[in-house]
Amino acid sequence: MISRKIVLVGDFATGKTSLIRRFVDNQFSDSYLSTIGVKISKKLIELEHVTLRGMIWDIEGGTDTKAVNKTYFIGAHGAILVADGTRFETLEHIEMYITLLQGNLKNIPLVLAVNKSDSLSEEERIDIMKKAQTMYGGMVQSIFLTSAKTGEGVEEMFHAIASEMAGV
Amino acid sequence: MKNIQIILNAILSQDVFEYILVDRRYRITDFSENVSRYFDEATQGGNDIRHYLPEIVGYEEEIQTVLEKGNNRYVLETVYKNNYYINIILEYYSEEKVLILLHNTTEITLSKLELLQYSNENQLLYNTIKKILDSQNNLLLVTSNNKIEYANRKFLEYFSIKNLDELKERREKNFSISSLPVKSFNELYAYAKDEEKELMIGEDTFLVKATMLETTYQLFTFSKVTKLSEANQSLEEKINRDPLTGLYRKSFFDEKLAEALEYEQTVTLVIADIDNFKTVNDHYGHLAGDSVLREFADLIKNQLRENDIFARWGGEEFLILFNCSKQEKIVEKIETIRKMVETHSFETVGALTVSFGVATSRENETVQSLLERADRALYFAKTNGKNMVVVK
Repeated sequence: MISRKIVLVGDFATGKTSLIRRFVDNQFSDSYLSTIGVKISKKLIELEHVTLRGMIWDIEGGTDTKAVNKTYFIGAHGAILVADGTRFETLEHIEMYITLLQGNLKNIPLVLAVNKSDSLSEEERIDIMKKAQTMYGGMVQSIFLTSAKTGEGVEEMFHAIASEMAGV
Repeated sequence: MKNIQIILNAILSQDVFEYILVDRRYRITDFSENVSRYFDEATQGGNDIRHYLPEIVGYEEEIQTVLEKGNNRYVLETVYKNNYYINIILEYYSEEKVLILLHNTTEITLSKLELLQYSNENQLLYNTIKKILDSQNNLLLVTSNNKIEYANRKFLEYFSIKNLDELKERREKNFSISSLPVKSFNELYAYAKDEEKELMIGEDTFLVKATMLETTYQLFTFSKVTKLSEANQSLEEKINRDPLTGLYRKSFFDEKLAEALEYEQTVTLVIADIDNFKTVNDHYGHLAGDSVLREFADLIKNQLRENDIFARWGGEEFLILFNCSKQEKIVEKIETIRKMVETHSFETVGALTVSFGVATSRENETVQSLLERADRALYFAKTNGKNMVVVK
């Protein structure tokens, strides 16, 4: 069985921990607890022809005053960039994380999660996805509208990055 | 090696560090007694370290580099393991072994986490409040000690200021938004702290209200009055206008006529009715009929003064109110209009004529009685050959 390291990066309070919790434990909590440092969760991801052991790295979110610790990226095989669909500035900051990842890793697959879709109206969903596509369509493998609360897009997103990493 | 052993003994005794020794193939060769508290299961020599420390996955190259170069070390900070926070440090131990130190930082990390949580929550709250303020239609400004602390998006847009930093730079010139006619924020606060006050900024009128926040900050709310009255005016215009011709509606006309009679002004009322209009609709259809009504309205409108009130009563009937006591002059004017219509060629339908009934107000006249007289005059014109002006 192959092990693969996936890092989740993005601004603080974009829902990285919640996405992992939804994917790994199928649970969700509304209360916000900041992540400090890094926490690793393990999950077997069944793909069509292969099972992959995912080491999912939940990394402390970046803030205006504190950048993400790039030593956490060492050896990563793929990255999920997480933005909060209700805070446009977090989507704008994704470019900075892409630059940071590409400066430390060679050609790893990237997917973008526009999270908290449950808090968006139909019009806002279309609008934010259009913007995400325009801004990062050419920089990431795929873009997902996700909700850790409802589960929307979460499985699909983790399977997409796993498939990219496994070369499926 | 001896030194390391000494250091190890010293630090291990303080229960802050645990260690694991691994060989080139990542197999555990030795470990300290309490190292298992960081793992889900008991540590066993010979097992792959990556089984206990998946954090090492991806760091294999770093481990090899430590072995090869001797003095290299790698640190992975603040890793959450089994309810502890640890720093993982890779150190050279010998040519064949790497020392993995697990530094327990739980206590200090939990204090940091508390601060981080507080700071992040505050940042989220600040962002939320900023969004609320930015969504307001009014201009908002917060100051402290006569200096600008915050202005919402509307405020920046109104004064064509790029961003808050640019606005704050202006404070050195002591509130140099020159179009505000006050010398300082304190002066503005004194002016508007008790009630909303009018304030001119350039050509616009604002209502400004000042509120003290937490004894330090002054919040100024500027509501643009001119814009509101413009909007109301435009809405009123829409309500009072006939959508087909753009003329006033009968209800508005009645209101103005009643006002004039109430103030005992002498007014002349004219009712105009396009002759044989039914045949226009029958022969050319209602779209052509509508086009005739619009063309007729434009034709007459161009002959009237700005203060004459021209309205559509309904169908092909129109009303004109002249605020003038000289009836003979008005009749003369109506006669000119009648001739002009007679000689005008309407699009699609060609020539048309129009009949007019005219009545000038008398003492104790009411809207109803004046309309009745003008209507009788029109009826006379209609039943006596049409295309004429009749006065009652």
